[in-house]
Amino acid sequence: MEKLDTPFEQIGCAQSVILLCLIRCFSIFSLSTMESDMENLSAKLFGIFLGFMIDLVFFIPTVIILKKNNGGIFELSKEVSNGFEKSLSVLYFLFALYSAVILAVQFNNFFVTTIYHGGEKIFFVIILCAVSLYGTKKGLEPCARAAAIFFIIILLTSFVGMFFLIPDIDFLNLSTPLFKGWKSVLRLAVFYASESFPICFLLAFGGKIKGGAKKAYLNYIIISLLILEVVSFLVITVLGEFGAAEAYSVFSLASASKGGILKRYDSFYMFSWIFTAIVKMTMLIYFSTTCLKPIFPKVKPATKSLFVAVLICVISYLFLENGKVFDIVLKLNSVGVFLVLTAIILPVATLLGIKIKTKRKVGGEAN
Amino acid sequence: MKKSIKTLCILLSCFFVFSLLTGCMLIKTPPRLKERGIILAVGVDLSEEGDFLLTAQKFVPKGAGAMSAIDPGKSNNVVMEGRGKSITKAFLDMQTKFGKELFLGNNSYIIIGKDVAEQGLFKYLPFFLESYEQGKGAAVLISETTAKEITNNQVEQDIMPASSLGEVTKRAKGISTAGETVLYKLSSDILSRKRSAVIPSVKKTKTADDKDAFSMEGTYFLKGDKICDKFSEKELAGYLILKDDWNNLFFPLEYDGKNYGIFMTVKNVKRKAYFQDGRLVFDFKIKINGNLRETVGEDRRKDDEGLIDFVTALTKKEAEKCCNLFLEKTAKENGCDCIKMSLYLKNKNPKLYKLVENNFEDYLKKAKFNVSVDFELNKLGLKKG
Repeated sequence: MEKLDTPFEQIGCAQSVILLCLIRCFSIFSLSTMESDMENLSAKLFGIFLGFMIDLVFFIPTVIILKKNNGGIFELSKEVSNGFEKSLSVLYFLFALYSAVILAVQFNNFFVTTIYHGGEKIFFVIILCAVSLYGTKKGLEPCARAAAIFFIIILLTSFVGMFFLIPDIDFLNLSTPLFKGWKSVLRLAVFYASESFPICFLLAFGGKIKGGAKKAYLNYIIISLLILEVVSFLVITVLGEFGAAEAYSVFSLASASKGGILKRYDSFYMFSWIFTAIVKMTMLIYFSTTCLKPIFPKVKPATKSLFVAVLICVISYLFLENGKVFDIVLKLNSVGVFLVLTAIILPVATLLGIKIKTKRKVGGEAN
Repeated sequence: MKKSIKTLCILLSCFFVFSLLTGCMLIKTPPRLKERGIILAVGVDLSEEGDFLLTAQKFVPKGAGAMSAIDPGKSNNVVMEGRGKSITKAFLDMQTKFGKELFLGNNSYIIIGKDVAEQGLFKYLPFFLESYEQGKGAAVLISETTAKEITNNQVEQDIMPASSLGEVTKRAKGISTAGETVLYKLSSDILSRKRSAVIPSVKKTKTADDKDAFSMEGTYFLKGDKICDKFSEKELAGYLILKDDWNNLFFPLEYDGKNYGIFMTVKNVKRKAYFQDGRLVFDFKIKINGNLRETVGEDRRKDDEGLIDFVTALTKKEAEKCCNLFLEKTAKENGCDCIKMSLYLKNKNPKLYKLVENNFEDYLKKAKFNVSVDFELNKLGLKKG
């Protein structure tokens, strides 16, 4: 577990891009009806693009933070005050916990509602957390290496599956994106921009990336945008209204793809989905453990990770028992509240704190 | 010690990950492969009491020696039957009777009895749509009589009867069917509430040597989720031409006692939609290429030049006639949109679409259709002797 605390545990730019893309891929594979409306499928493509542009703009405070202190937001917040550092860590920890719980519940729901009807509710969450805990123990760099292997397999299988869908593309399913006006496009843009964990990840570990976080984030945005646009394009043009009505439209897309020696590609989808979930959960536990460092400096990182994993399981179980509460909690994320908080408000507050402190220091020295 | 704990952790992680994959799950005693029944085709009927009657063709290897071998000389299947107040109940009944956990993952055909299809398809499809096992690319067919008759039909043309069903459907494209209708496309059309899906119909028949066979009996078009009517041969041709889906298919031509064997391909269909005198107008400009393979008649025309002009004019006229017949029956008589005219309008003229979307069916019935075909004959099949 020492690796978690080692400041020299660096990862390459390509590795970080792959890691971030896989984190994003989980959301891509979990595309569901709630983000799109049947009457205006094409708004999605435009909404995705705008969403990613919002993400780019929201990355600016991260760039400034990393410029000021390569150790990331937690190192920088130390300079403001210990209390500020602890408060900031708690807030980021809560956000990571929230994201992890959502991921765990979605993971569990997919298995229980789609594949193993009547499976034990918490079983899949425990398995996911156990595997991710092992990944967290190994550290950032080994996880990034494993992620690279998953990413190549996912890309190759997705490419083959998509290739056989080409004859079924019907461009007539693409209508004008503004058919329902700007409102629906903006709603979708906010939804697609709301994946804020990559920014938080870079706020904390951006300094560990060889070649710089800026380059990694830009590459991640380009690759993820491309993947999401291609997948959404296929969902719209191949499945049409059926894709909009399905709870897991990418799963249905894989199930509709038939060609070559394989009759269907949904098993590949499941493989990809499971591995992206593991990578994302590993990173969330890793991030949460880092957040807990200023609060519990004397507790071993391994103990903290275990605590986080247990907490995720317990909260997920409570949400699984109360589906309606989970729906409300999930909606909070889709309106971009956490993106604004974690990518804008908290980093800007840190920068302001530094500025005020410097001013006071200069003022004090002048007096 | 530390190393062995590490190895154990790795092995446990692998176990956890792979335990999530289908077939390895340790929840509620999952069936092993030999306990599963692999379904190849499912038929849905209604019994006289109003219950669902589900029939399914199940794969049973009958090869000599190894149990997994397939003997092409044998039928390699059994037909199962189940009844219930819902399709799920009928499915479970079938499972109970045959003592196998039935697996829909290999099911490539969903056959619906005509009586059932007349009542509306959408109450029958969710069972298949919501099953994660069922491939969404499965073909949907309507049986002219009962679905049971089709699933029961022991055709020996292929390794499995269900496989020959697929082959027959594909080969009949342009002759009696519009090709395969797959589950997700059918659902998409029904869900759109504007478009009309088309579904091929199948019937049990006999070969010349009195063996069981399938024959395609035409193509139905739906209104909403219910059967509306059946295409005639010419209307079917019109549908495929306007849909830009006529690719090197035989187009029958007959004039003055002479028959022409012509194979043609639709190169493109240009559409235009606008509003004129209070009604919708759709212009279709179709470009078709074709080859003449044979001329059957008393005398063949003496010079090729004349033959080219004659066949070109005849094909153009006939193709336009087919398209008009199709549009007359589907759009004008029944207000059905089988060729995605509503989607076209939505894409190309959203303002006009918003104006007509609530009463699209009525506008379609009153619409004017202008079809013009540009036909080019590539080559003559026979040179004059």
